Amino acid sequence: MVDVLDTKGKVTVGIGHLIPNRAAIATVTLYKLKNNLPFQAASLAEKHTEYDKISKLPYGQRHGAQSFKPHTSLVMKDSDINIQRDKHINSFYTELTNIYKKTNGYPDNFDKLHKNVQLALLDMIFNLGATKIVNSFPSFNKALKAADWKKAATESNRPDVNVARNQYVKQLLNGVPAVEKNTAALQMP
Amino acid sequence: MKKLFIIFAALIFLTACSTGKKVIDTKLYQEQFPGFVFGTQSNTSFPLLSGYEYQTIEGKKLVVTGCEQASHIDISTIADYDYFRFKLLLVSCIAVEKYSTASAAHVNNFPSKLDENFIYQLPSAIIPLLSRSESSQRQGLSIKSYDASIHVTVEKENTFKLLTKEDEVYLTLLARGDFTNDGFEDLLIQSEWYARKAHGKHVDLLILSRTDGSGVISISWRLNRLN
Repeated sequence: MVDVLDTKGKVTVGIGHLIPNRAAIATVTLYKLKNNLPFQAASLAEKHTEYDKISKLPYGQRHGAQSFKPHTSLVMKDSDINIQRDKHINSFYTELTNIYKKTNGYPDNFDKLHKNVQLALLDMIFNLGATKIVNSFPSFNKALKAADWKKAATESNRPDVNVARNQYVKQLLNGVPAVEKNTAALQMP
Repeated sequence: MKKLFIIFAALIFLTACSTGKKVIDTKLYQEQFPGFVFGTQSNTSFPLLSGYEYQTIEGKKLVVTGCEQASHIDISTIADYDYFRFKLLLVSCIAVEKYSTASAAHVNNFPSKLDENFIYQLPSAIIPLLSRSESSQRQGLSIKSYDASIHVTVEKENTFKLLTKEDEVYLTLLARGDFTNDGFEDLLIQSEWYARKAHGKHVDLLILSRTDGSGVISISWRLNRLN
């Protein structure tokens, strides 16, 4: 994926990874292209040139990722994009383990919750962030504390994401075996 | 003669009354609708669109040339990375449609030029809401009273950026006019939310009303109502 401007004119690379300023592009591994394939790591000066060029392009609701492609000369390798993505996921994972733990009233620590619950929470925090998943979804969290997965599925609905993604999270939570609820309920003080 | 004088006096009085009742024309800020090709300021219905392209989930290019076409596209067929951009277009189209229902106002309780101080007074529920809880937490509170640490800046003409630790919100004045048929001028506002520490983004469209001089500003309509 090449670097692009989001609808507010911010430079992003990979899977929506924000480059907050010119200096931050130094931390991203970019490559020059040869025969449309990445072949040589770009220097800092080349990365700065690319950043400067992209950040001056028009942006907004008419300008999708594809519209920036003709203006870019550096790319990220898929493997680097995956590393960047994994860093994001790890950061969210750390936040989830701090929020969803037995001492906070949940049936179990995040790592011991059913895999479906973990995936659902990861999807939600990726979109909402740690503060909003706690403060804006109290009914959802209450249902999780009660191990009421069906209720949690209903309360997981977010108006900002597409139907498919909401359905995905709901199906995950609805798919948690009832025994999980019983086990968890027994463990609750 | 006396009768004639009374009629003449009454006529003068009525004329004075009618000329005193000002008419405040509706206004659409066309610069907030990039790529919309409008007829005239007074006739903004059915604008043509230029430069609106999206990718479908099947990787096909989708060119949108009008709001009518956009409204018939199944949003679930739009690629995930173009989903929000497509939602922005739908909101712009709905705003134009909404504007066509506005009439001239007779009373204006909003400043002619919005500034940061005005934004701080707006209802805190103006941000795109993500849940009913968020809605009730913000009920009755202004932006400033809900979060004293919020920082408002002018992003560009008629667009304001609201920054908190977690969120970035943009409020854009799209149009003015009487949208509620009560004679008072209302504001049509686009509100966008971007998570600063996550990847969420959301957009809403609202009508702000103020029927009492410098009194409370209320949200009289919003596009995304939470059930």
